[in-house]
Amino acid sequence: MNIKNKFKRIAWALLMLSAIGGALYVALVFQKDMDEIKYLPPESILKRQIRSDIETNINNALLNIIDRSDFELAVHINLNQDERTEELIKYEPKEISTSKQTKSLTPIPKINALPGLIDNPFHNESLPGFPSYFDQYDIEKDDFLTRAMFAKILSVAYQLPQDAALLSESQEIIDNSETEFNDSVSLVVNKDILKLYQSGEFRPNDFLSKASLITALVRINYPTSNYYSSDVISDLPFNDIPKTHWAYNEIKIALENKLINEDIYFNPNKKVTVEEALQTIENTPLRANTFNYYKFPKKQHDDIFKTENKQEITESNVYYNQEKTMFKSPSTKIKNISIRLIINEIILRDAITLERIESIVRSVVEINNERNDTFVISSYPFTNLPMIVRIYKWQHWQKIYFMIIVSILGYFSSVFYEKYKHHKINQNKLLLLKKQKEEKLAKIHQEEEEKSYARIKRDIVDEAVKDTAGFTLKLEKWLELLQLNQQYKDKPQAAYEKIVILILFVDFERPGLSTEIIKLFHSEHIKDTITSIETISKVETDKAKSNIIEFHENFMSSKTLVGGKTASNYIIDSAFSEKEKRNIFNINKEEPFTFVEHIPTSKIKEFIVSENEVVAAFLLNKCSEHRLLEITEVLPSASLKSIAKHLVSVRNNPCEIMDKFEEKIKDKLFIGESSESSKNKIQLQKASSVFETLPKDVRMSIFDNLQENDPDTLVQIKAEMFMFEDIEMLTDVEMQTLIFEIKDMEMLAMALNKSPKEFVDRFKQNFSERFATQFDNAVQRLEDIQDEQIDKAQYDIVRALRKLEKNERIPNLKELKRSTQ
Amino acid sequence: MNEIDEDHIKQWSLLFSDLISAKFKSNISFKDFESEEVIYSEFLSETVEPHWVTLCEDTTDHQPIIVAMSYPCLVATTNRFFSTSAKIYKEEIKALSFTERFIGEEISNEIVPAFATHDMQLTFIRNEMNLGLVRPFHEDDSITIYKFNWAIENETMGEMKVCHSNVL
Repeated sequence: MNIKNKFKRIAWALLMLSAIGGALYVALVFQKDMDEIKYLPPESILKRQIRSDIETNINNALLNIIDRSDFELAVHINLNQDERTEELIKYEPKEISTSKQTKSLTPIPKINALPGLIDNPFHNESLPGFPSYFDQYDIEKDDFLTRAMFAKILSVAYQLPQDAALLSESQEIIDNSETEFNDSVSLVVNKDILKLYQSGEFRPNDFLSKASLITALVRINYPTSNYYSSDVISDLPFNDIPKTHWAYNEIKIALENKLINEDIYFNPNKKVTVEEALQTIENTPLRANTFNYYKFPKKQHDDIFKTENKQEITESNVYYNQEKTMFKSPSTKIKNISIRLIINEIILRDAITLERIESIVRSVVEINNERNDTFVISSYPFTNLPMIVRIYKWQHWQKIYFMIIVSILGYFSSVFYEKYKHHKINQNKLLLLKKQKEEKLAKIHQEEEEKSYARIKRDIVDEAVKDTAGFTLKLEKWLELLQLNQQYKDKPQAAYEKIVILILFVDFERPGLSTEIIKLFHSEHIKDTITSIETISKVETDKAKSNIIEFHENFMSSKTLVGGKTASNYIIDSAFSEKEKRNIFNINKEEPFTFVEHIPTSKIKEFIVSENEVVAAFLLNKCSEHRLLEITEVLPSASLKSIAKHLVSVRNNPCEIMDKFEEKIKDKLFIGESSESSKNKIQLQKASSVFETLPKDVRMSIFDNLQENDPDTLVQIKAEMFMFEDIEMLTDVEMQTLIFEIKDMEMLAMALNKSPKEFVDRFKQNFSERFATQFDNAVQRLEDIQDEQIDKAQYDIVRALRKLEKNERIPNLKELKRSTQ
Repeated sequence: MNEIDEDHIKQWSLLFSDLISAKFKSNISFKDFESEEVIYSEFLSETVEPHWVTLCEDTTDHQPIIVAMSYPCLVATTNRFFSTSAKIYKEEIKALSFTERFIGEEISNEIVPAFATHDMQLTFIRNEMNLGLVRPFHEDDSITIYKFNWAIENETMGEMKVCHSNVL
């Protein structure tokens, strides 16, 4: 890895660490954790409110503290307030008749209407008609206290908030219905003052044990010491409380706070009497002032409060006019407040000082020095936990883990990114190499293909030259194969086109070879092959190449063997004579001269009219009836007449020379002549066309010259020229077409002015009545006609004929003339 | 090699007629043999009607030999080959058709083999449709002409002439 990449990686890591640091800073500054300040459950509502105010203020102050060490802050305030307020509560109790059965009175309805009084059923200063709970139920001070009643006493003695009685779902007390103090039971259970048995029972009607009593009172009164002891062995004086005793910590705290006295035995399972319980509560620091009234009735000192004496008072039935009486309510003021704060956050900026804490507390609680209120703030290390525990509980582990994970992720991201880059570079290299390889292969392939193609072409040409017959047979086989293909069934000409491309190819390589191939073709293919050659335009290189390769693959390679009718016919033709073929296969040789069926009618007509009439009759004799009709329809009647008489004397003369003649005539009719004489003839035809267009005087001048120098040529030119007089060769229909084209009867009359009567009559025979009238009138009007005028008129009529010829409304005039000669 | 003389020509004509008769499946014979010596220019001027001419050459002394057949010979042979009758229907024959030329070529092809059988080695030079197009002799050369009547089915149709120079 180069320096640049290393630098990049370090930069990335630093950037990520900066981001993490920033995120942590934001989290610390703006997200105040709820665990920032921890405190034990509140005691009274008022205390809780005060403490909440103090905590809120300290909390705000702590936001700016700089102290990385955990420490505990304890605030103790002792307020020597009066136990009674000046507040008076007016009460209007119902008129209740007393009776001897006072003890059996049911609890007074709306008992909660008198806070601090009626809510305390243990009140020892029961108003008349409101006996204390103890009185009601005749509970003596020496009676053993049940767990449920103890819960009720605690709720009153420490003013436990009633809303805390709502149990969480996980703390269902299954036997809470067994006591009337179920609310108080729920309250103390929820506050963790007394715990449920593992079975989920509270056992409210069991007697309270001494250990339970002390535990409950310590949990309420000394919450800041509610941590476990680090004692290894019991250092308590009580022999019956080992270190493993479940209430060891609480008993130790109680002893330290002088809630109990040292002794040899503690008697943890000893049942507690009501008096003992109330006495112990009286000694606790956090008991409510209202509990001052909850002393057990002093029956022996104050008879008025004796239950039995109440009956005497209530004898008057209405024993108190309460409307005129005002009662003091018990004080709701707090006597002391203890707040324990655990400060364990990393807090920036200012350090919080004890002065600051004091000022905060003083802003919430009014401390009266004259009243001897005390206010103590102490700070000490949170705990003396073992080092390993402290390490384990170190709060920054989570951040370190987070940073380690982030660092690992950053590292792996960097590694992954590098690998990804490397992978991409390799991939690009591979792609480049692959492309280069493909290009190279393509080039090699192309070269090989070109070589292969050149070899294929050479093979085909060699085969065509050396074994033209075999090559032709292969072409025919290919044609048969193509024709069997569904693709070419609808387009048979396309199959011939493929063959023709190959023929043109070999002809290009070896001029004249195509003629030999076509001559060797089976007659049924010759016409279509020739037609394809005529119609085929420029052949694309790709098309020619694909055709050549296709032919080579199919017929020049030993890998492909092709059968078919062509092959079988070839084998039969090669192996057997005609006689044998007839005997063995019952196959008749192809009838001679059947190629005539495939020659264009115009061509065969031209040939027949220029041929020996006996030969012409012979050829017509070889045609099918349908073909015969086609040809005879176009033959001039004179020719047909002379030929027809020989039809009956045609001689079928199968012999070698006849076969040779067939081949010869086939060449002529399908391929045409390329001899010098033929070329000369074409020249003469062209010359005659020129002479036709020349003015008569010019033409005659040239003809006179020719007559002297080359009379034969003149004869041949005249034979080729279509002159005005040659119109006689036209059929009646063609004559009528011409007359309709001319329309100008005066011109026709002029042209026919010096013509023989038979010629004129030929026209007249094809006139309509209108044209006949016009022609007669025109003839009558003719006077002093000059030869030039006649020539001009004849010339115009020949021009009209040429126009009709061009539009294919009449046949080719030169051919017509040749056929009649 | 034998020299060309009347006997040889007669024997040649027999063989020639045999060959072409077999070839065309027709009864072709040469009758009324005549021979004469004339100046070549006279021969040309006397020969008015068109002839199918085959020019050959003696392989040993390179002396030319021409065999000239009048057009009716070829037309009649053609007619007979393609029909049951050799009768000629045209009064005047000015040119040969494609088939007639083919027949003429095929007949000419048998001239050299017929001579060869009699130990007379000739080389075929060419065929022409006009006697004027062949110039094997000087005009003042004396040539020997052997004439035959070309008969088909014993009916004379035309004449055939074999000409060669007397100069040795």
